[in-house]
Amino acid sequence: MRATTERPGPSGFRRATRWAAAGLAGSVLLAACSGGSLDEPASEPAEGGDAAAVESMSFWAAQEMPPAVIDLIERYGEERDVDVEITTVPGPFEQNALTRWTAGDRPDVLFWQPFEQRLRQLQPEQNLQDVGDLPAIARTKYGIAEGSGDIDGTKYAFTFGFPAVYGLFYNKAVLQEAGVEPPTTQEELDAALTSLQQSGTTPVHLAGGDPWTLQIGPLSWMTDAAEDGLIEQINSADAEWTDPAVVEAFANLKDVVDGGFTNPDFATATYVDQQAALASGEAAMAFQASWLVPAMTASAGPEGVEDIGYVPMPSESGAAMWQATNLGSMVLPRTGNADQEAAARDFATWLSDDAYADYLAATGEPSVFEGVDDPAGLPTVMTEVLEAFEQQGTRSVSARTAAATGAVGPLTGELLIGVKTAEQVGESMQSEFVKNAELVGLEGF
Amino acid sequence: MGVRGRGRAAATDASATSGRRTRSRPHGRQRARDAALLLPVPLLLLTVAFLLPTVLNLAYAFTDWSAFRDEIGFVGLENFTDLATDGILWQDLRITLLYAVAVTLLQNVLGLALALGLERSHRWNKALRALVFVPVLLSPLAVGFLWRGILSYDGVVNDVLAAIAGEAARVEWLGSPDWTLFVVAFVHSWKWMGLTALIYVAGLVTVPQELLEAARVDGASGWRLLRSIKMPLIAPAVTVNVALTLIGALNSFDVILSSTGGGPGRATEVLNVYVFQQFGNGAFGLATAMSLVLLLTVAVLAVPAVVLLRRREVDL
Repeated sequence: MRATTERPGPSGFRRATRWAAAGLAGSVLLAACSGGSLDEPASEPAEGGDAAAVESMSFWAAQEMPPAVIDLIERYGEERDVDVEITTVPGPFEQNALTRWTAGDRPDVLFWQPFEQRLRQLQPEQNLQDVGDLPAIARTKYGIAEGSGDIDGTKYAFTFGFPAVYGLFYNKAVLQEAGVEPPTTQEELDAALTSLQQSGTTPVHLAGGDPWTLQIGPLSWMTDAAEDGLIEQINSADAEWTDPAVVEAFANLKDVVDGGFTNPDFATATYVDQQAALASGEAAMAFQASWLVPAMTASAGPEGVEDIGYVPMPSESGAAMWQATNLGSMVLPRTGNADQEAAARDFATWLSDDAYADYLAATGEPSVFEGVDDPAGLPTVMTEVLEAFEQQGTRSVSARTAAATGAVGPLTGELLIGVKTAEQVGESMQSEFVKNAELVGLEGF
Repeated sequence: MGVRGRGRAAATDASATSGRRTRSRPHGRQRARDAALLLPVPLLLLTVAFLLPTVLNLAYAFTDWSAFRDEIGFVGLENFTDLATDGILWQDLRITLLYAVAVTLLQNVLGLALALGLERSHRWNKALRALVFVPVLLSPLAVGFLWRGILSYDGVVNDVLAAIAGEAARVEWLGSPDWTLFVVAFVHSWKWMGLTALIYVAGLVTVPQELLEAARVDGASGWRLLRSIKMPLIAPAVTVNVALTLIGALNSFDVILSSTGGGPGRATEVLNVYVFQQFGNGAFGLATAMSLVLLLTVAVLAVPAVVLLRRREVDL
C-alpha cells in the first residue's frame, strides 16, 4: 500500500518548463547548424580586386615567428586601417596548420615553408595565388627566388626573410682554449672532436629531446651528394635513399655518439638546452642551421651570440646548404574573394618595400632584396653565415626532395640509441618516400 | 555468505520500504511524451558529433585521402597492407599493448592502495582524497611537461638520487629505449590514480562493517580481510576501474606527446602518436586506417575484459 496519492498529471508550470527547455535546445541546435559555414576553396583565380575595400585580414604563423614580425603585421593593419587577425599555430606547425587547412579554413596570408614537398601539401595549383609577378621577386638577391617557391614552373611562395644556412656553430672561446681551429674537412673535424674531448668540454651537443634537431647533422653531411644531384635522381626514381652517401652521413653522426663525443643526455636534451650549452661553453659545437642565431639571441641575449662562430659542414665542395624557412616565406591562399587576395598581395609588397628596413632591424638578419642594406649591428656569426652563403650556397636536401621521407628526426633518434642501423634508416626513408611520392603523383612512382 | 556485491541494490531497497511520501513522478503516457519531446535533440547531437564521424572514420580508412589531391579514391585494404608490411603497425601495436597493460596494473594497484588508506571518513582523509584527485584535474599535456622536467637529466629526481648516493647519479629516465615506456606508464597512472582510488573508495564504503568486525573477531588479519571480504565485495568497482583504465591507456596520447613525443627513437610511439604524425604529413587515409586499428584493438581487448569481470561479479 502506497502512502502517496497519485496526481492526475504535471502542473501547468512544469509543463511550461518542459516546453521551454525543448524550445531552447532546439533553437541552440538550429543556430549552431546555420552559423559558421566553411568557405569553399576557390578553384579559379579571382580577377580584379581592390585592396582598399578590405576590412579584415587573417594571418597564420608558427609559434617561432619573432614577436617583432607580429608587431609589423599589426602596424600594417594600422596603416591600412584593416583589422588583422594573427593566428599563431602551435607546434608541430605543419601538422596543426594542415588540420585546419584540410577542413577548408583559409587565411589571407600563410607563412609556410616554400619548398616542393611542403607546397604540395597545400595543392598549390588550386589553392594558392601565383605570386611570380610580385615586384619584389625581381629584386631578390642570392638566387633565393630561383631556388624556392616554385612548383612546375609557377611561383607560389614569396621569400622575404634570410634563409636558414646549415653548418657547424661553435663557441669560439672553447675552441681557442683547446687550441682547435674550426674544421673545414672531415679529417679536421675528427681531430677536433678528439682534442675537444681531451680538453674536458663536450665536443658536440645533441638535443634528442627535440628530434628535429638530430637530422641536421646527417642532412648537412649530404652536402656533396646534394651538389652532385643525388636528390634529383631519387626524385625521379633513379636512385634511392639507401645510397652509400646517405648511409655514410647517418653513420657519421652515430660515430660521434659512439665515440663519446657528445653530451650524456643526448637522447633527451632539448633545443633550449643546446642553446644554453653552446652559449655557456659547456659544449663546443652544434650541428645546426642559422635559425639558431635569433633563437639564441632571444634566449641568451646578444652577449650569448657574441662568441659564436660558423663554418659550413666539412665537405669536399665546401658549400653551405640553405633553405628558406616558414618564418621568412609566405604563400597567399585563394580565398575566392578578389579584394582579400589583392590585399594579401599588397601586404607582401608592403613588407618587402616600405617596411623592409624595419623588418631587418627587428630580426637582425641580412637583407635579401636589392636596394635595402643589411641592418647595422649584425652579429658576427651572421656575417660569417652570409659570407659562406654568398660564396657557395647550395639548396638543402629538404628543399630538393619532392616528397616527404617520413620523420627523419625520430629516425635519427632510433639510430643514435641503437635501435636501427644507418642502412635501416635509409630503408625507412625510402619506403616512406615511395609511399608519399605515390600520394603526390610523382613521375616514376 | 550469500551477500551480493551490489551495494546499490541495497540502497534502493531501503528507500522503497521506508514509506516516505515522495513527490508524484510522471507515469506512462506523460513520460512517453516527455521523451518524444526532449530526446530528438540529444540524439541528433549524438549522431552528428559521434556516430557520423565514427562511421566516416570507418569509410575513410579504405581510401587514399591525402592533402595532395582533392579526389578521394577507394583503395580497399591497401592502407592496412602498407602498415602491416613496413613493420610500423606491429611495432606501435606492441608498444601500445605493453603500455596499456602496464598502466592498467599500475593504476589499479596504486588506486587500490590509496583507497585502502583513505577509506575511513575522518577529516584528514577527506582532505587527502581531494589532494589525491588534483592530478586528475590537471591537463594531460601539463602533466607530461611537468614530469618531463622532473625526470630530466638534471631534474629533481636525479638530484635527489645524487644526494642519496653521494655521487652524480644521472639516470636518463626518458631516454631509454627499453624502459622509458614504463616510466611514462607511471606518469599516466599518477595522473589518473586519484579517480581510480575514488571509485575504489566508493566500493569499499559499501562493505558492511559487521562482516569486517565478525572476521576480526574470528582472528582474520588485515590481509585476509582484504583478500576474502573486501576484494570480492568491490567487484563492481574493479570492473569499472579496469575497463576505464584499459580503455584510457589504449587511447593515451597527450601525456606521451608532451613527455617523450614518442621517443627516444620510437620507443614510446603508441598508435595515437603515429596517427598524429601521419596526419601532419598529409597522409590522412593512412592515419585513419591506423586509428581504425586502434578502435578495433580497444574493442577486442576491452569488451572481453568487461564481460569476464561482470561474470566474476555475478559469481561472487
